[in-house]
Amino acid sequence: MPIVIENKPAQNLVIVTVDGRFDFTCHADFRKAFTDAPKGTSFVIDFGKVAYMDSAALGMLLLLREKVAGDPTRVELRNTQGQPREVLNVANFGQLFRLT
Amino acid sequence: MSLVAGEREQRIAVVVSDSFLEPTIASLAESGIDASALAEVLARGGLDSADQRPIAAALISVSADPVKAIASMYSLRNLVGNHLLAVAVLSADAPSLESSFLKAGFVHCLRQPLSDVDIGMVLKAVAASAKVPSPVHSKAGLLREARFVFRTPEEARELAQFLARLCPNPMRQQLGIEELLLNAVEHGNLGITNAEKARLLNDGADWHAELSNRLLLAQNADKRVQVFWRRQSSEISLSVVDEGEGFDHEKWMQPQLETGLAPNGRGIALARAISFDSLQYEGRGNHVIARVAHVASEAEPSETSHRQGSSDADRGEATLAMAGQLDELLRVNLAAKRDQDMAYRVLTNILANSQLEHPAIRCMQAPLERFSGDVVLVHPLAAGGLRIFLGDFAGHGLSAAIGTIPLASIFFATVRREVPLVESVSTINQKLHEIMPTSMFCAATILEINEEWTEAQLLTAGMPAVLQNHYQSGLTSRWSTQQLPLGVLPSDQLTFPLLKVSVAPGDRLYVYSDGVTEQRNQHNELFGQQRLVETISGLGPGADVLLKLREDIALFKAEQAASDDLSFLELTIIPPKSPVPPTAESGTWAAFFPKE
Repeated sequence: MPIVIENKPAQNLVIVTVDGRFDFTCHADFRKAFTDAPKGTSFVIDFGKVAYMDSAALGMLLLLREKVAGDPTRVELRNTQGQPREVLNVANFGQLFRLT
Repeated sequence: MSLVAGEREQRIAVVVSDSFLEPTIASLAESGIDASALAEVLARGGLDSADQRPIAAALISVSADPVKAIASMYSLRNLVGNHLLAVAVLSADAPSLESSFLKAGFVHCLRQPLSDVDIGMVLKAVAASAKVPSPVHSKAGLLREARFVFRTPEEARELAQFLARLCPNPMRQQLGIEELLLNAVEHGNLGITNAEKARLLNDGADWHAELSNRLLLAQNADKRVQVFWRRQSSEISLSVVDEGEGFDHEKWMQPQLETGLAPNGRGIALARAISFDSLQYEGRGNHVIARVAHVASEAEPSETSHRQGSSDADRGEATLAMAGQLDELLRVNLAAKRDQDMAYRVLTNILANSQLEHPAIRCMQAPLERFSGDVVLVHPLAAGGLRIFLGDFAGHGLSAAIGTIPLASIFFATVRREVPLVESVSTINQKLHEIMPTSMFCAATILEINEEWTEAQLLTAGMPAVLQNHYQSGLTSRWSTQQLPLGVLPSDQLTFPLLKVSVAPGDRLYVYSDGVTEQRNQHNELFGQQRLVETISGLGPGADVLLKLREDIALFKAEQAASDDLSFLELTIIPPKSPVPPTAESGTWAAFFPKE
């Protein structure tokens, strides 16, 4: 399972862990992670196990950003490293999300 | 209730799907025709027993199951006769099945929304043109044998229509007969191969003109097609003989895989599935015999013919369902290809404005698919500078390429009107933000060379750094403004600060999409910017960097497939008054030595 969704209703938090390739094949699963989340939910996307991401994954992050109404404090891209970090840097997504 | 059909005043009725009953009754009330419900007529096996009017026309709605509509039409035709003119009405969101319905024997295919008035007018017009058989039986029933000779496609069509009327189910048999007769002319006597026909149709050539030209050739002047028609007690047979070389008929009896997207090549398989009970080629393939089971004398319409007609309808339903679905699939493919061709032409036209042949520019593009998500736009400025836009839309293929249309339109319009660079970028960004879905965006590098070719202004939005290889030192610098890709945020939330970079004659600037740096090898390593810098810096002045890069990437990726569109542009700084260096071709060297 390349995408694991962990709901923490008490903290109003959803943690999404992507494993391996974060690309267009993750689209449906990734959307599932946030479409049904209640208003005000914060999201952590854990990139620790992501070996590769493409522009479709950047697009998915933009959809998530739309979900949180552009609030940069409510999305954290955690453990970004390697190629995904490079892609996020080239796209300058640090201006849209918290990269940790 | 009466309507003048031809010169003879006759009482007729129409049948409509239940959903049309009320509006039709209302709109036809003044025309002297009234409508009966299709379901009722089929269940009862006709109109009220007291009602002797012939049913002239039917309006059949096409719901989720198109085959059901075709089956209803056949059932009704078996009930009331082959003179019935049927009109299909597709729901607004139904797929484009029109041609399949027409082939199945409907005379018109309409699409919702239709007003009551529209429905009434169509039914009235169709009913008026119906050739309701006269009470006196046609003498055609006495015909046993006939021989016809013809030469042209027009004669083939007319003869097919005539011969179909001598068959048990003219609407169904006409398709097959026409296919056979036209094949005999086109592929038989005129010797046009299937591949040639596909090419002519795909090239948009005038097919009719091509046929006319071939008919005029001396070698074809005396060639004729002969048709022998025979009615026996149990079947009608049709024998078509042409004077051609014949063909590999086995191959065309089943639709071929390679026919998938071709505009032709399905006629024989369709004729066999829809029109005939058997189809048999003889000899070298220039002689075909089609047979249709003939169940009752046309002079004796009876209970028997009704019962047989029903089983005929079942069989027809089944074969038509299969043939229809196959045909539909091929048609959808063909329609998709036509749409793509159209989109491709539009994109090609727009990109034709891009002056990639400018002497200072060399560009390498390798799209993953037919449509590239990368776009390279180059246009000179009136004062003497040059503006370059290299964009990379998220994703690849047509969905990525579609954004090129507004982008290129704005780019060329603003550069021609000499709109300042920042304003042009801001307009493009805002337009892309407005029209593209949230997950779509365009990473881009925009670069402008000033009038004197001494300074470049640039902006990188979600793109890798621009590289500058200095002519004098051989060193390579990287330039980046680290902005968000275009289309992500509205322009009023962004600034577009430009980076100003000094350039000297002979310097070369490299703008590229991440398809270059993100190419992977079999060990899953990226080509990366470092390798790119090494490729660029490792060569002497005047070297063919594009050729070397192409080789280096090919060597690096080896068997690994490309995973993204790739674009790479080289801009050589050639001051306006210096001689223009020769443009290098692939595989050659170009040397450029600026004047001191």
